[in-house]
Amino acid sequence: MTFVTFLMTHKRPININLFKIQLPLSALLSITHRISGILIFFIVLPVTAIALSFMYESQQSYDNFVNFYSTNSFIKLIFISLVLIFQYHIFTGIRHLLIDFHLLAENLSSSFRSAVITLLLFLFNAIATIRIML
Amino acid sequence: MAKDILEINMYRYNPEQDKFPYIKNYSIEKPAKDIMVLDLLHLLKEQDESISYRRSCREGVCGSDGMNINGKNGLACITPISSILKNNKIELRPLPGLPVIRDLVVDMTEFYAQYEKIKPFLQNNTTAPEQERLQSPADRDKLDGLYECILCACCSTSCPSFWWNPDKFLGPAALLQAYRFLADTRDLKTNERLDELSDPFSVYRCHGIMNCVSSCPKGLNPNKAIGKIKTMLLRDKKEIITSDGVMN
Repeated sequence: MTFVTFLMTHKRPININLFKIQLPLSALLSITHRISGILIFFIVLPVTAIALSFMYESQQSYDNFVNFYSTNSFIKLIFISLVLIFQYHIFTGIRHLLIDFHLLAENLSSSFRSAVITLLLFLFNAIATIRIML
Repeated sequence: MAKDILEINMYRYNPEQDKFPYIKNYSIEKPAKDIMVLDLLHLLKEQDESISYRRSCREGVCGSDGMNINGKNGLACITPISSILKNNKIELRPLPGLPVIRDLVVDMTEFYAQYEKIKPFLQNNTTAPEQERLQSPADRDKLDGLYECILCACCSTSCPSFWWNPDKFLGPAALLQAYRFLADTRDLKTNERLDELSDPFSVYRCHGIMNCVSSCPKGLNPNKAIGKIKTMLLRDKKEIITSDGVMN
């Protein structure tokens, strides 16, 4: 077997070890934006839609749900995280849109700064959301 | 004296002997001078001759020795060890996302195939003037930050979109060159070039995460060039709508 045919037939390894690769903050934001998008599609939207349809059945079911929510802290925790996932997706998504419209400069320092600002805004918003929903 | 010993973890893989790649640990006395990672590799090769890596000009011009140094892609020959050292440890891995031929040597076929796709040459079928096609200094300035690319693949192999779709997404290096010819006033195939780029994968897999910018050893900005290509693609569409009255 010549070296060339060996290379053609041999399955060669690929070095992708995400724990060993440094990613800039903007990359982490983009990846988590995508993950939150997947979560919204498969979890946040179905769960909230089911909850909404349940609440809208009758005045009685609405009251039941409100009662259930306000007395059960585990359910509260779940709904707060659903809302936060949705909000995170919106915040990072707006940052992406601003970059796409060239409203934020496309260089390393500006992208890092906008990532930090996005995270800070999300954090403040998250604190407010948690205070309202608790 | 433990402080003066460099600990180097190197990705090793010899397809004729190893079934799987593994990390081999080397210790070496810390050199008195601040040397480049490539010089360090030479020192290691004195210890273990079986280590393989590419190198040629050793001054950041040829782009042969792109590798993943402590998690960040870069050229070994222009990366001083002082700039990457953490607790006297260095981790050397091949460029991510491309098949490993041996140790730090990767198969760049996919990378070059993407470069070939963008037709990296001037296309102008008008009769050439006697001496040369002239440009105004302002038009020439548009090519700064584009033509300097040495095709070391540090950017494309740091890009998650390129890891996912190395066959469909062109990758930052090829796209930087695509914009280099789109921005060139002497090139007359701008519309044809844009047509080739307008599918959902070639350009639009870029989500602007800046890995390419942070890893480029020449300090170029493929991300910005890609943004400009995206804008050109939108403008191109608009012109088609207004001139024909139909939307393509």
